[in-house]
Amino acid sequence: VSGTLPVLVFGLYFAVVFAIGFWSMRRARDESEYWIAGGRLGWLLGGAAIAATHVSAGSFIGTIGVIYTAGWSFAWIVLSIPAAYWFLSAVLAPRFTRTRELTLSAFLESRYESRAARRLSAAIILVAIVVYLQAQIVAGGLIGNIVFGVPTGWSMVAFTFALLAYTAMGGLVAIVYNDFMQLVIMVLGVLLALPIALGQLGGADELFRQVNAVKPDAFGFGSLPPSRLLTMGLAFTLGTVATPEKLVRLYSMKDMRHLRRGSLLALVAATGINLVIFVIALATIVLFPALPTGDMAMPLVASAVLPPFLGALLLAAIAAAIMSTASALMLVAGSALARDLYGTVRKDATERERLLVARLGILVVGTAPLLLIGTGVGEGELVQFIVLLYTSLMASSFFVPVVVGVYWSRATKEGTLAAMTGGMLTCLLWKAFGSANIDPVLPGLLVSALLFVAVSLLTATPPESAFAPYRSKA
Amino acid sequence: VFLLWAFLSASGGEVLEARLEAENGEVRLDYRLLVPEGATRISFLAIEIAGSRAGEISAFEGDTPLEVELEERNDPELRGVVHPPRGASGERRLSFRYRVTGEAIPLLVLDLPCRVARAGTFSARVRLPEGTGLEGSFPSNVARGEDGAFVFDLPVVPRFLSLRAPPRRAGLRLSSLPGSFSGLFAAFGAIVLLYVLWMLWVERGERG
Repeated sequence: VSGTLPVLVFGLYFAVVFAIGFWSMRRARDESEYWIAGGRLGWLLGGAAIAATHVSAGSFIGTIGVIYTAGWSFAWIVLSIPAAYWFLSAVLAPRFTRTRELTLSAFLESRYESRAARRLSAAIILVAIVVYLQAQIVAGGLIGNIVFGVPTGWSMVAFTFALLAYTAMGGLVAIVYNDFMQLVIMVLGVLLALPIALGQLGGADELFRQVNAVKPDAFGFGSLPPSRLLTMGLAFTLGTVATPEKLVRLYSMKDMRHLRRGSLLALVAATGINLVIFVIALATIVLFPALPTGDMAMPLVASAVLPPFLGALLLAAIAAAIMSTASALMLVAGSALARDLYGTVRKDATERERLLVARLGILVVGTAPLLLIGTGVGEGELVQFIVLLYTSLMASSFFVPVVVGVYWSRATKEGTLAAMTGGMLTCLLWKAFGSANIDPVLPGLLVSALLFVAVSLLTATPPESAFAPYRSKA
Repeated sequence: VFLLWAFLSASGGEVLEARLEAENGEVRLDYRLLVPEGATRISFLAIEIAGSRAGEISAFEGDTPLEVELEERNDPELRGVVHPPRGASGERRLSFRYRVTGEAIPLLVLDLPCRVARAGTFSARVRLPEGTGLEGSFPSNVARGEDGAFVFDLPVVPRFLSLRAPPRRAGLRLSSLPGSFSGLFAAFGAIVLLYVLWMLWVERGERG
């Protein structure tokens, strides 16, 4: 993909993104509007925003890379998406949304009546988000390099600042409207790319014949050990439930009816996009033998399989996927800094001050991954595995305190502090020293659950007021 | 996955560059590669694409012919091995010459990775018979050289080259699907249906 056409497509795309950001900045009058879009989103906008946040560089660059390398078995992990959204709608949201907080950390403070829980969770979120943003920015740099021919390093810097600008400007309102547009671009991009990629091979029948010929084990389950596959599926399911950017989306929905329908839209769109991407991944196994890294597969489809306009559209779709997720993460990081750390230290801070700190915080957190990349941290990791680490970390730290917390009145603040700390540390230690055949989420979750229950039972019964909003309605 | 990459890295061999020239069904494919230490054979594979197959294969290092063995199989793919000179290792040049029977040009793809993807890793010049125009291609980023040849440049080695648009509606034909593939789509459909039924049941309950 080269020449003026892709630059025009991208120019138009960015112009719309910034216009929405600017319009949203004028609209965001208070913190509720900035962080959760006033809690008034209907199923269409809200569901599209959830789906766009879900589909990230992990799907467009990472998953295709893993399927290219390991085969179709990895595709089964996509079923974690519907499982997670059903769980969110049916099990968690009915109680979780009874108090409408602005951040996950604020929920933890309110549920456990513990400022320490709020600060600890904010710190965990900040660290994890910097790791996750790194994957998105690396992928963004790759796209910039292909479209504009700018060296990947500079391309990552430019991509980061474009993201920072519209996220800091408009908050969740900007993100939601951009997410909707970005989801439409993603769907268009993959749906138009699929028949052309298949056509190059002579059709779907030929695709399967060729894949079997060049990679005979592509449809088997031999390339990834079952324990790895199952625990990765667990990580994606629980991670989808427990990541702060998804949980905050629950607060932004108008009511439970819109939330359930929005979740349906999100699960159909996110799973559908992923499935189409998986089929394109199969085509790349045939079209491009021996790639140095599977992460190159999708950019190559855009640049060498599709005609220039569609190639540019697919690259815009990839950029959209990355930007919608990264902006949501930056917003969560900004809220963690402004409300959960700064806001709890300077209690008399005005709303205006907190919004200023949030915008500055987004700038700081957004640029931190560039420093990590500059120092070579995470170099050579497939994008999908960076995404997976973030997901495992979030699930290990927050799944038990959030989900069990809204159902078990005996849970205490000491229990939740122990669960978050133990889960996070176990996850990181397992990643560094544990078996690669088991995802860190399993030991992380087990330790978190064990500490949560044991410490809660060993400490004083919490006050009735802490659990009152979540008690079953008779 | 990492073990697989580690294995590929440890094997030591890699493709550094590949150049292809084709005219009237005659193909010359030159590889510059790192031959693994102690390698006595390098395997290759050429798929059949759009009815086009590779045949009459010979291999050379410089002007020295190399031994090529082809596997006898029933499938349309062509698999074989080429034997580099005894003791050959490090950077070497390997040339294949072969004929193709159709309009697409399958490449003899070596069982070695391209360690780095950069512009110019693969380039090709293909001459079509006088008066023949271009009707879509793979790779899609094709240019016309000064001598009228079609020129391709890619950061990696593709599986084949094609200068004909794929047949219309080719993508819609489906006669058989791998069980693991159709099973996943069926499971997704079933889950969506269950979700909708659950949602309707809950909403009915809420209405009283």
